Amino acid sequence: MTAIWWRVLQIGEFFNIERSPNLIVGGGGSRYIEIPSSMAKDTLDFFNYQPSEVGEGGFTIEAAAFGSADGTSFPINIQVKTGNRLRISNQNRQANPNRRHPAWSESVGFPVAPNDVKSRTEAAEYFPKGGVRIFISRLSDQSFMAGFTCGPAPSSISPETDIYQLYVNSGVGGVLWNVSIPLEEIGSDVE
Amino acid sequence: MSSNEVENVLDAWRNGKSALLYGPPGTGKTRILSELRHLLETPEMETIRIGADPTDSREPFKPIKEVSSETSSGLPEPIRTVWLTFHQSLGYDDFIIGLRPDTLEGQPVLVPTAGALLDAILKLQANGGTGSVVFFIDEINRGNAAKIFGEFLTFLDFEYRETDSNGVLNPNRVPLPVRHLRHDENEYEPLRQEDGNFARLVFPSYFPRHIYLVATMNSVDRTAIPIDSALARRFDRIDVRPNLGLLAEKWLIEIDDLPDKATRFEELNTGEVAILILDHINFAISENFGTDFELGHGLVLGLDTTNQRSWHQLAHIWDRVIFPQLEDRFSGRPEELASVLRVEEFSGTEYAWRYRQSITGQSSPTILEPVILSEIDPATSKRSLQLLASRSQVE
Repeated sequence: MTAIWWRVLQIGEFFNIERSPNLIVGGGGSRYIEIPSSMAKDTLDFFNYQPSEVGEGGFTIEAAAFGSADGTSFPINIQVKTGNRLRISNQNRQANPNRRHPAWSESVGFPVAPNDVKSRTEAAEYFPKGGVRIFISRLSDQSFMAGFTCGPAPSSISPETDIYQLYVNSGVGGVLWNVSIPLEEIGSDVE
Repeated sequence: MSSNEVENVLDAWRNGKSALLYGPPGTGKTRILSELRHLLETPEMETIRIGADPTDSREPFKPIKEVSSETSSGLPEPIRTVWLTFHQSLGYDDFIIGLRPDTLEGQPVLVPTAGALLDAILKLQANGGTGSVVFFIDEINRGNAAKIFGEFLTFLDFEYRETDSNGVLNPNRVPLPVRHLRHDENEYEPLRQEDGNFARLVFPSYFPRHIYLVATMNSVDRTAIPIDSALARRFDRIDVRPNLGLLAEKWLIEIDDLPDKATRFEELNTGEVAILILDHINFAISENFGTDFELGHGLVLGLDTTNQRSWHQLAHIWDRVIFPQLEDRFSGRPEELASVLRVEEFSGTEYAWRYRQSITGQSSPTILEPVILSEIDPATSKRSLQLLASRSQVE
């Protein structure tokens, strides 16, 4: 891994990407994952796009998934909205179209709320203590791999390390540039 | 944790220089070599890095243990160490190459034999160029460097070696000057190695990057046995000085308290006396002859300040180690020696050092009465040492 983009998922966002699309919620209820304006420039830089290159439809990248057996890549569409905001579109898993990336699905351990979850408060019961962060990593061959972190940092990840930021819930997210994290299968007996 | 001197040696090597530990005797130069050798011979360091496991979605980031291909010294492994003490009889054939007698089909023959340095090069070549060799050279100025190194002196400069610090072939590399060896287009004739086996240098051969030298030199010898200037300029000199702080740390003494305590001589313990006397003597020596001639802290390091016989031990150290060195420094300068020993100051009191008096009462103003401190009355011996260490005159 040479760089990591990450976003701190809020309970409200979790609720909106888990609930039934037919559920009437106040304010419309976004079925996407917002990328706030503070992250917009870094996000475009991370995906190697100039603002002028991004049209109404946004852009789509292909990312493999942590935990996926065969390494197949799946699309992630990032749309551009007014006010210098971006969004990862169509992430509600019950919606049609459901473009939720497999890296953020129940099959690989991503948190899930019941199909009939009715409120943010109710969804909070299914939201892990210590929070959730989605991330997309850029590899040395310029490909992408998506994943998530759940809960507090394991004891093996020291607060002094850059990667520790992917386990805290302060802020909205960001980009770790110039990391050098080897990608390899790691045994469970390592401390 | 490496000492400062060890880090300075490693820094010199990183900067492409050989290292010279320079200082008076008893300052721990050999201890530093030993510490460095231990560091180099310590097994590979394990480091913990964070890795990403693509097969684990729930715990994608984990620590992974990596075995470093370099030691904490930064030298490529495997590291081989070679210890040499230079002396007058050491020659080119011991260090580079010589002819040694052997028999071939019952007939005596002379066989080209690799000296320590060429043997190291052969071993590195046999290992595919990986690894490093470190030469520990004690008393480097006691050998004739020009004779021992010969043309290989050039390669003390890293800029003429085979590769640069990035491992890239060095355009300024110079072939090994082994013209007296026969060769074909690929290799030289066989050389007998230290272990009796034979090996061949490739043709042409260049001096490997990763051969490092650290040497010691006794500063007291500087005038009598100067180091070859062509050799000296190829070393980073690392001064190793008497370290009273080390003694204070060992004996749990606060050095800052000593100036005050020295005014109350009877309260001084053996450790405090040892430190104060060493400081006093070195002050006088450096004033008269320069810091190169000071006495090292190692001379008193063996003192056991907790032992009941500590005063006797200190007197013994004085007789066997300190006074002979002091006498040697002030050889031919009896007035200065008497001044260092504060003979005039404590004259007339119970004090071990006094001017010589003949049976008939003749007194010499310069010659000291020989005294063996460990054989006189213990109370006088103790008091004398305390007085010598003290700051003010006894009233």
